[in-house]
Amino acid sequence: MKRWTKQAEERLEEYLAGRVRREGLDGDDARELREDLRAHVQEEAEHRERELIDGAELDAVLAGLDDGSKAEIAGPRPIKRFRRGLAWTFGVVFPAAVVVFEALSGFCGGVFFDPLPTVWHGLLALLVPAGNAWLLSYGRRADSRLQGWTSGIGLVVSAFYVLLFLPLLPASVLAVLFMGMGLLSLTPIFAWIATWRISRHNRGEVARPWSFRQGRKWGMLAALGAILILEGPGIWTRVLLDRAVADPSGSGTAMAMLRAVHSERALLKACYEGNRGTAMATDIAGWLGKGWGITAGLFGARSFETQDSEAVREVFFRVTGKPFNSLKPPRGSAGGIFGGSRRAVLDDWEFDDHLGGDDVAVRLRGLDLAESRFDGHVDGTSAIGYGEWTMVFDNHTSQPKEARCQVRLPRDGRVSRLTLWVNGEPREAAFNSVAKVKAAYREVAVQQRRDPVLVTMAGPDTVMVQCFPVPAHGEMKIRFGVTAPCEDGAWELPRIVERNFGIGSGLEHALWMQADRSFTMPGLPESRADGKGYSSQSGLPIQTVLGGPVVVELEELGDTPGPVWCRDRFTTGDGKILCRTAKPGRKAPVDRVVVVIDGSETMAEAGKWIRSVFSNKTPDVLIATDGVTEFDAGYRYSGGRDNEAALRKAIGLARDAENGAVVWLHGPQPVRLTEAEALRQMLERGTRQPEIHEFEVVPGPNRLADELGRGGLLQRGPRLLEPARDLKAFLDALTEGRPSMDWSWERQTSTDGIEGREVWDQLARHWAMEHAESGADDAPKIAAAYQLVTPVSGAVVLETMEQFERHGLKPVEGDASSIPAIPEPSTSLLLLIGMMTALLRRRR
Amino acid sequence: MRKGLLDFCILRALEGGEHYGYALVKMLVAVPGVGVSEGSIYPLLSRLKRQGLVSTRLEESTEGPARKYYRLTASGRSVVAEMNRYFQSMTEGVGGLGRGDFT
Repeated sequence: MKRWTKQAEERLEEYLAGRVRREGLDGDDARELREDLRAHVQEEAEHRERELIDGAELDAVLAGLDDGSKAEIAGPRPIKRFRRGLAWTFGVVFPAAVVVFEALSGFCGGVFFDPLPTVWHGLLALLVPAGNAWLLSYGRRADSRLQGWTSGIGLVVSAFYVLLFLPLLPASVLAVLFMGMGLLSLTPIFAWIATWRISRHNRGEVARPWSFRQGRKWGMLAALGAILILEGPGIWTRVLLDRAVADPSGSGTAMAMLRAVHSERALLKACYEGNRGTAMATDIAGWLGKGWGITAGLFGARSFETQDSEAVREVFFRVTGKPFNSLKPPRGSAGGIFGGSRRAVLDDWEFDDHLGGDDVAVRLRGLDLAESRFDGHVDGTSAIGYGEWTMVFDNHTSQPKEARCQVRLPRDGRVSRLTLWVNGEPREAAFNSVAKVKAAYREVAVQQRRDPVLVTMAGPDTVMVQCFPVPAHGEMKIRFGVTAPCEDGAWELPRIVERNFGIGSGLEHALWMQADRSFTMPGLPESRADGKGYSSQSGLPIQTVLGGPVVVELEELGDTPGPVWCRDRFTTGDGKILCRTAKPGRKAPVDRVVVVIDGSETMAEAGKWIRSVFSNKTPDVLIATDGVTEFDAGYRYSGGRDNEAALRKAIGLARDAENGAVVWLHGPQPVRLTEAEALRQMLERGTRQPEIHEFEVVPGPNRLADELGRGGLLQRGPRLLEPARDLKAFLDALTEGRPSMDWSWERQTSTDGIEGREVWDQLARHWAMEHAESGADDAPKIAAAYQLVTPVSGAVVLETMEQFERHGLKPVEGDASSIPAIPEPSTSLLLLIGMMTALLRRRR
Repeated sequence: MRKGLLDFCILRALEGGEHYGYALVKMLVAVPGVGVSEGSIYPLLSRLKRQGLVSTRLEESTEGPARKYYRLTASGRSVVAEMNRYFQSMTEGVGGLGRGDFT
């Protein structure tokens, strides 16, 4: 006799019970039928090939027993009308309505968590009412296994949402009892109960209950798999995020595991939560951890702990290597998957905790740069360029917002003009000490919510531009001017390295450049003669000023500028004629060069050309990997790395030599991973203070560079237009001695006997920029007088004279002579005529 | 298949003698045009037994469960004889259709 598995025996009993029930037999008749069918099945099983009769074998036997009998088997019993109504209401109608409502309105997503963050979540949730509807209607006569599948999927999906909404159960019950609302959050629980009842009923009615059970098991597994695919990475990320935040060293197991596998969506969402976050609601993965805190709070217990947003953002950088605010903010608030008008309203409610602060911080929704225009003039004679960047911000939301960005200036460049349009009228800025202008901005902008704009230094050759309020459903227009000397016959355009606003759709950067000689610039048409100079104009993609350096290269410019002079209208002393003479020199060669390469993921692309410059045998090349590693051509750039340890080691090595230098190649590091004080101490103390030449290989904010740059401890390396070639040339120049250019300044009371050519008054600003950096006692006063934003001075535009006076500030007068401007080509002609006349007079 | 016809088939099958239930079922479903499942025949056998047209006996087996054998009762023989006559006359009648002999 064949052997039977326990499972097969149980299935046979189920089948027999079902047959008897369908035949409507009881008592002796039922017993006799069971015995007859059992005997038949056992006889049939004896004819099978296999020795062991398991579920599959039994299925085959029973299939033969029922084959051709579908018409004979009585249909499923009708369900009582009341129960059918309840099943349809709570198993189909309610869940379907709630899914559609949430998809359109994002109501729950705006308050607690987003249960439908993607279309796939929505489809998965809709499988519950759709499956139940099918099981209650046509599906009742369908194949048993298929019914089981449908039932299994519905059970798991509805159970998942029960788990999510369970923390809200107490509050929902209370809300229903006392306020008559709260049914939305109870619907998943009702849906699960209904799905379970429908499943149980259908299991009892199907021709093959064992097939139903098998199908249900597979359906449950399939649904569980789908949920794991959708939410597994997010849950994994959230769990590890908690551990990573708790480990300040950033080098623990949690961080390594996150770098290997993480959900960037979940990480980014977490960046906008916490104590300095802006989002009201979390995502599913976050809610699983925090949801129970609500229930605990309801009963007076300690609620869940709010994470430190800064720590989370640090982890984001360490894991992805990207600044969190370089990505579009997550759709975590009221983002319904099919969109909805309610979303726009709830999206407005973003609390900007960084208002008036020193960080660019979170990217704000609904705030965009709507227009961008740059007008620039480069004077080859004085080797100075001046340009004005006009920006218009557009706020689509119903809350006023602050627009903030960090702008990288040309090397040694400084902001020398600031204008704000108030009611259509341009207002010029007041320049004064950093403390004064910041205090004025905070009081007027943040507290009174009036119209100022503030520009201060944020790092080496970097300024922070802040303007608030950009009015709700309105615009704000500002302009700032930049004065900078040329470098090797080229002038670099200012660019944005960090911003809290988006970019308007299709925005172009309207660029006008002119010079006293022909010039070239990538993306610009060839410069054409325009009056006595040359000009070119084009609308460039806005990405031009969001990425790496873009330079204007002048042609026919000699290596050494000749002597020049100008009339300094800013000085209050007698020496109003300011003369400048170039003093070319040569820097002493460096004895030892130590290179530090940022090991972050953003450097991966640059790694290709870096490998062509260094090999595994090149000495003194370190990779910053949170710790320090010797250079390895096969190194895999990953995450966001702290460069502090590697820099510390490099400085130590460089100090071993009499005259050492460090070359630092880095990408963005938008968070302060470690304090820079130890580094600063190494660089400030002792007799040997190596130079640090930093290269921003990948553009973006770098807090470590900002900290070091504030103390004047960093020097910006030359531009890497062809990176491998230019870096090699620089390294060779370091060890062989490289040319340098210093300026000699002299003041005279008249132009008698003066040498050189008269140039524009930007020359005076050039002098003031050098003086302000010299550390002289009168540096702040000079910087303010010459209208410059420097490490010791800033610029602010306020709305009324009373506000200026209250803070001891004086705006630049509307007098055209003191405000820098882009000279017209005809003005250049006048200057030329003037200079020629002066020359002729001298000859006589 | 008309239910009465299936009853007739069962009674006809037993007319030749006693049959083991399993074999009886296999015999019946092999008839072309029967169109019923094996499992459906047992309820009919039970009904025929309740009607007194068939009787059963159990025979113990060393190779498995006891085997149930079915045979006609006297009442069953009477019914099947009558059904045979009816089926015969119906067959002849159906066969004569289409020859145009209407008398």
